[in-house]
Amino acid sequence: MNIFNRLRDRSAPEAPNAFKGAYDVIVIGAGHNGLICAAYLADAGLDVLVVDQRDKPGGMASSELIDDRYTGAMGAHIVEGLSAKVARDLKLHKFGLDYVKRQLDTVAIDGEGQAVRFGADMRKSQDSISALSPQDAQAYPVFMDKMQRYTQALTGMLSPPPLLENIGRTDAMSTWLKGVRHLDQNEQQEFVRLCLSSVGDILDEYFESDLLKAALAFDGIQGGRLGPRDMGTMAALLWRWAQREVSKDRLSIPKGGMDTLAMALLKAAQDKGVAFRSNADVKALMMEEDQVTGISLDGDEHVYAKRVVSSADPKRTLMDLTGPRHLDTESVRRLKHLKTEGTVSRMLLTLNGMPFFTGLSDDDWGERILICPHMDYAQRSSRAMKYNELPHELTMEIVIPTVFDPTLAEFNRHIVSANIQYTPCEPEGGWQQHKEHLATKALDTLSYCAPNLRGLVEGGDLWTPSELASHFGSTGGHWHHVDHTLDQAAMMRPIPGAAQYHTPVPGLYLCGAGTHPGGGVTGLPGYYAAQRVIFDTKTNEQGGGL
Amino acid sequence: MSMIAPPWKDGLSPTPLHPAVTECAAANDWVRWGDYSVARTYSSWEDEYDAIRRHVGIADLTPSVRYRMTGQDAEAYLNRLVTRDMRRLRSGARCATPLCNEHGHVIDIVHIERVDEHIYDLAASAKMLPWLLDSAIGFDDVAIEDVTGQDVIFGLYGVASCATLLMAGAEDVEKLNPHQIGLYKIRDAAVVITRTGALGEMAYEIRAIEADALNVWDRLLRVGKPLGLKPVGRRALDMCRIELGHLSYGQDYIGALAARYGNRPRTPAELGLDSLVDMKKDYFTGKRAFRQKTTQHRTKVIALHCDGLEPMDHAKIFQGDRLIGTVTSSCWSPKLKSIISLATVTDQTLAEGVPLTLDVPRVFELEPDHMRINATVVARPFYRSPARNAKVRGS
Ligand SMILES: Cc1cc2nc3c(=O)[nH]c(=O)nc-3n(C[C@H](O)[C@H](O)[C@H](O)COP(=O)(O)OP(=O)(O)OC[C@H]3O[C@@H](n4cnc5c(N)ncnc54)[C@H](O)[C@@H]3O)c2cc1C
Repeated sequence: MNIFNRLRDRSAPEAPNAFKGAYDVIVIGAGHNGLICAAYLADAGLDVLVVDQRDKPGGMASSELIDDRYTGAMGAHIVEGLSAKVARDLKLHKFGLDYVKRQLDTVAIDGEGQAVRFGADMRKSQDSISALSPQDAQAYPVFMDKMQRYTQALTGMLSPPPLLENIGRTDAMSTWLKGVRHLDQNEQQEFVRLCLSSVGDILDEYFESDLLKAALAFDGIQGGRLGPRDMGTMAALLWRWAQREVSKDRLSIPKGGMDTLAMALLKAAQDKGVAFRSNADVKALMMEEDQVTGISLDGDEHVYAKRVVSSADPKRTLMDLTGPRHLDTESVRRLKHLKTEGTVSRMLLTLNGMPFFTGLSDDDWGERILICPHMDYAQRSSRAMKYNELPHELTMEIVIPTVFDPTLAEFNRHIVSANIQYTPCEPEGGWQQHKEHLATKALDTLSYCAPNLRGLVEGGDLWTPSELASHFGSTGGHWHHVDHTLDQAAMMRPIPGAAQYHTPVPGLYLCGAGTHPGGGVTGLPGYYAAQRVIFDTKTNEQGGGL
Repeated sequence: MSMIAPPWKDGLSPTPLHPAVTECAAANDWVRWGDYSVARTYSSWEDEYDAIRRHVGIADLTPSVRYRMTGQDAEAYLNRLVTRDMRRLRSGARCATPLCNEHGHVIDIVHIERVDEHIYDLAASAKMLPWLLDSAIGFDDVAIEDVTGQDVIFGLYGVASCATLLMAGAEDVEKLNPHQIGLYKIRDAAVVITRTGALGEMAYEIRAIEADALNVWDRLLRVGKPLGLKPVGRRALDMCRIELGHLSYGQDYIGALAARYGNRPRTPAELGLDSLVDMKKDYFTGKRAFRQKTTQHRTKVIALHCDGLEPMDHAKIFQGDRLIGTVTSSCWSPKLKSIISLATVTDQTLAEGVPLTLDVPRVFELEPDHMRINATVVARPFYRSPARNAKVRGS
């Protein structure tokens, strides 16, 4: 398979804000969270530098130029749940963010010609579902309305949870749970039941169509390690839907590819005075008297700052850049247990024509296409991955961004962008001997669903979780940096003692996907981390510690 | 089908010295120590106490928990583990130090010997391998091994301890300064000897491999006899320990890893060990808690002179009508001719000379009863021999 070139001409513009040797705050990582955090900090009057080891901003939400002919993303390909407040505060539209398509629908196919489409338009969704099952078409609005109650209750919990250390000391917990307390008694009981259940069990209570159930369950399992039959996946589904609530666009495709978002964020940050340096790999944090004093870059260059905020994943930040020698044994122990192995492989195919997926009509092509015919199919795959094996059947999410955005490729050329769920981070025997196999299997799966696809393929690439890890500088190449399961959520995220964007180390903060409320392109971790740092600056706190 | 011994142990093991020890243990009074049984008294605790304080006593310390750390990173590793500066511990020396958890609560007070540049032995009060292993994450070159019971360990206490070793053949042992370690020979057996100052006496710890253990014991017993040497059991050792005012793990304080209730563990300051916390050295677990003062110091360990003639363990302590603490260790002190106690109180300002009342629980002819006893706060240690750090002149 072919080949992949870095995007040269679109790489970051020379920093207009001159680079200095000392700052109020250094932000490690110019992913969307790092940039958002930096922009808010600069807006509060702080002198901010953002550094990234890559040659361009955006982190896992950016795009690359492929074969000089296509622009495609090797990380996020849908902007999902970008906080409306952040977009407004940072005037992202002024800085070029626009969408070719908002409120994307989801279309699930089973490969045998059946398809179901659902999304914002309830009537259309019901029409599509009734072709599979009239029963389900009636149950669907009931289910969605009910879940809507719970996701609204959850949106309050997207704000920073109380510290684990403060539980039992303050009433912060009940404030944080305000949304849940506003539910009536029966609903509260149901809420607890849902949060601890598997998405599979709950969907079985409402629906009969396997394809519909699998498609709905997908939002509860994507990016993570659990299967739809594993407990806690219903909470994951509600959590993800709650994140979508904070954005009015929900699922959308940016005009010009994911880089449009990255560039808009960079410009917004630079407009507020943020300095940006690419190709700056932070090797270690500098410490004095247990206090962070800056970063040391490749080539032994030091940059000083009163505070450092890291959007690199928590394991990398604390274990590699800080080092266990500066942490208590308990923190190290918790970091050791952190599950950070990625589960998603990324495939990008470039085609010289449009692939026709059996069962889809031409107005479905640009939507979010899922290959996940059955919950058991996904469950089997998750089980294989758990034992570090490649799954026999591939669960995929596909987007063809060129349907709505012709600027991404030459005329009548298309990009098929696929997330392959449930691929182990390091399969038994290593990726060298499995990667080819995975690529073949993915192509087979796609060609089975879209028989003309194979003949159209011009090139493409596949990044395994461990390749994603090395390209994007994250420990396991995980979607959320840190798997978003109940034991790694809320005040446990990423670890007790490092929640609320603090770390045990004074002066060091976290702002990436590994913090609350988790991964995806919501921008909320960056936003809340900035609030934390601004608060500490005003109160002259150094943060850190318990 | 072959029978395979179960991997767990039923009951307690004898130490390798058991055959020799039983010959002296007329009292047949045994006590548990870790997974082993050792003598509480051999024949009479009064005589054993007397041997330690006036002549020389020998004890079987084999059950004490030991870990060995080896590797280039062992020094850095230990420095992150404990509160004292391990870079200042030279090869061939030993020291005592607390080690704490993230809250600055004491896990244990351990002895560390730097056997060699990159080899350390750590003697602990209780097992803690998971803690030691997790603390090693991030230190590439350090291996940690539980070596409990691998070697046989003798304690030798009293003014004649050095003379005993010399007569047993450990040439030049008198040159060993307190807290130093050396290699010696006793009757062809290679032994490691550490001068410790334990129990507030001139004292040594002798380590031999199991094959030599009975030989060495025999030799020490024989040459020591004219000097008044006696095997001493845990009871006499514990009396001397209380006289020295040393805190016993699980008795005077609960280790942070063992505590079931969140408010039970203690900080070094609460145990009177703040001088063993070095805030100037590199990071160690608990340092931030100390710096940021996030953990409260609520209690204080005090020493008490008590009226009465019986030990008063677990007595409640009152200042006027106010309940302020509990007695944790108590014994008759032959040196002070009085009952002495160690206690934990919630009043951190309590000074020497303050009179207190103890409420001692007891059962009298099957009825629960209690006694009121007067006590006074005194300084720790109650007693310590001037010989403990004395220079020894050659024979
Ligand atoms: C394959 C894949 C597909 C995804 N698809 C979607 C999707 O369709 N929709 C969606 O909403 N989400 C998706 N996600 C999730 C989403 O992309 C991430 O959760 C999100 O981008 C994380 O953003 P971040 O800013 O927190 O971290 P990142 O984007 O990972 O940014 C961290 C930055 O830190 C830099 N860095 C790390 N270490 C150092 C160092 N030592 N020195 C200097 N710089 C350093 C990295 O280069 C990187 O740029 C996907 C994730 C993956 C892996």
